[in-house]
Amino acid sequence: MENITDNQFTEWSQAIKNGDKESYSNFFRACYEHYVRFAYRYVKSKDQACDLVQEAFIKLWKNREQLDPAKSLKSYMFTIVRNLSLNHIRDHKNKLESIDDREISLDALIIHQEQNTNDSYIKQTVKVIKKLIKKLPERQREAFELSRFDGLQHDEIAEVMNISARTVNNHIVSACNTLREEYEILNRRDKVIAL
Amino acid sequence: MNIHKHDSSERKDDSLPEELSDDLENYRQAQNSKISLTESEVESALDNVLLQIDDKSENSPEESGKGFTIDWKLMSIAASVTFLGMLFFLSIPVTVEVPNGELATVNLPDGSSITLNSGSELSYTRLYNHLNRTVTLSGEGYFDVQSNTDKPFIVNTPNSSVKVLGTEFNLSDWDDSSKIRVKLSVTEGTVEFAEINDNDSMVLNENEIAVLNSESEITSYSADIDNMIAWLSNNISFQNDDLKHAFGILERRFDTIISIDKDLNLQSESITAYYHDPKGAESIIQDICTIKGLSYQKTNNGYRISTN
Repeated sequence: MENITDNQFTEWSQAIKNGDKESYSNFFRACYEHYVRFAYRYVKSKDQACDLVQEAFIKLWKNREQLDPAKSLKSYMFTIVRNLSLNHIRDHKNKLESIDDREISLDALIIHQEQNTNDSYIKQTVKVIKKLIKKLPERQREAFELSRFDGLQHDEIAEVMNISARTVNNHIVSACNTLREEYEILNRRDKVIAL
Repeated sequence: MNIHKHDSSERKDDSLPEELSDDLENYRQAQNSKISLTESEVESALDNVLLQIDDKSENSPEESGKGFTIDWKLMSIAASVTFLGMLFFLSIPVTVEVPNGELATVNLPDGSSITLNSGSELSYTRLYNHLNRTVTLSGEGYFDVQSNTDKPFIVNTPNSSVKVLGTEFNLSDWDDSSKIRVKLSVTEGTVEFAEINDNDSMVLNENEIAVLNSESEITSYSADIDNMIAWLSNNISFQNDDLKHAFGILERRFDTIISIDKDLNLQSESITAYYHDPKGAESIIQDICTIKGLSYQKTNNGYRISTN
């Protein structure tokens, strides 16, 4: 999806509005996987993520006449997928799991890191980053991930999350501050352990 | 040490050190590789979707063309079900919830508008302006009410009731068991203020503030209203607020959690201060702790306040 131009999205949007199934299918082929990954971040199940994104595409087709080609099709789909995902979480709440994940302390994290010395460096980094990101407040994390991992602009994120661009910016700046600080602390402790 | 911390929390940019950026990219790729779909998986998903949209767009016209025998009994049942559904729908109030760290503006059908502070909730009936002009608020809001002498505008909060004809005012009721339960500040016109379920009301004029405390006493005084609505322009103003209340304001504004040691009694301590567009909670917490002789630590999800 990273390589698709805004123009392409506009073309698809126009064509889908006119009921062109060919373009609709092309859009699906090009972006399905990315949206599934996005939904997975919420629902944590591949099958469920696939189902939700298919539902989103069906919804897009049903409402195609209301499509506004001047607006970004890319973020419109993000919005639908996000709403469906949030609804799904709401209806299948499994709160315990997410709270447990969040309360892992830095110390536990470092011990964890030491125990897995067999893991490759990348594998370890991935674990560390995962924990750091999980510790961010939910809305900050959402905005940050949409910006970093999905490459959306701040105004697009504002549309997807239904908040002002200013709030998006605040969320992202706060998230970056936290990540920077926590990362520094980790690195400092790493050096101490190495000594 | 503190100075250094202070600096980094006030940084405004969203750039990250190169090493961290690389790690984030590694993380992203690792996450992506968890979900990688084969071409045939994508195609079968697409087939599934195409099948479903075909179903929906082609079946309905056929069915409606089948015949025109109308079953009146069925129709009347359908009509009453629809009617009951409508009634049910109308009885569900509209609720607006504002997450911590954000503000929201609600425009009501009569042209009145309400700006809600972080962590507040407002609800009103779908028949607002037809039946009455009553809304329910939990938290803090700035009200700009359109004048309508036939239908007074009423705000109910957990602890108070406010009745107006057409004015502008700020009202807060966080129901957080702090000493000040409800605070009402009038910027324009007159407002009737009463404790909930109490018929004795008090009339307030422009530039007057009324406070309902935990002993159910209402006091009013004239004061600078600007401080009361500082939050509308992203500023923070503490006006002789007790510390529990002040920390509540910070929690909602910065979407963080401030826990207070059990043996600390903050009810008797209050603070007056003004911050212009602050960017983080930490420097404010630091100030409060310095003034009140407290100390704080960062925790996983916020801060912990304890004695020195």
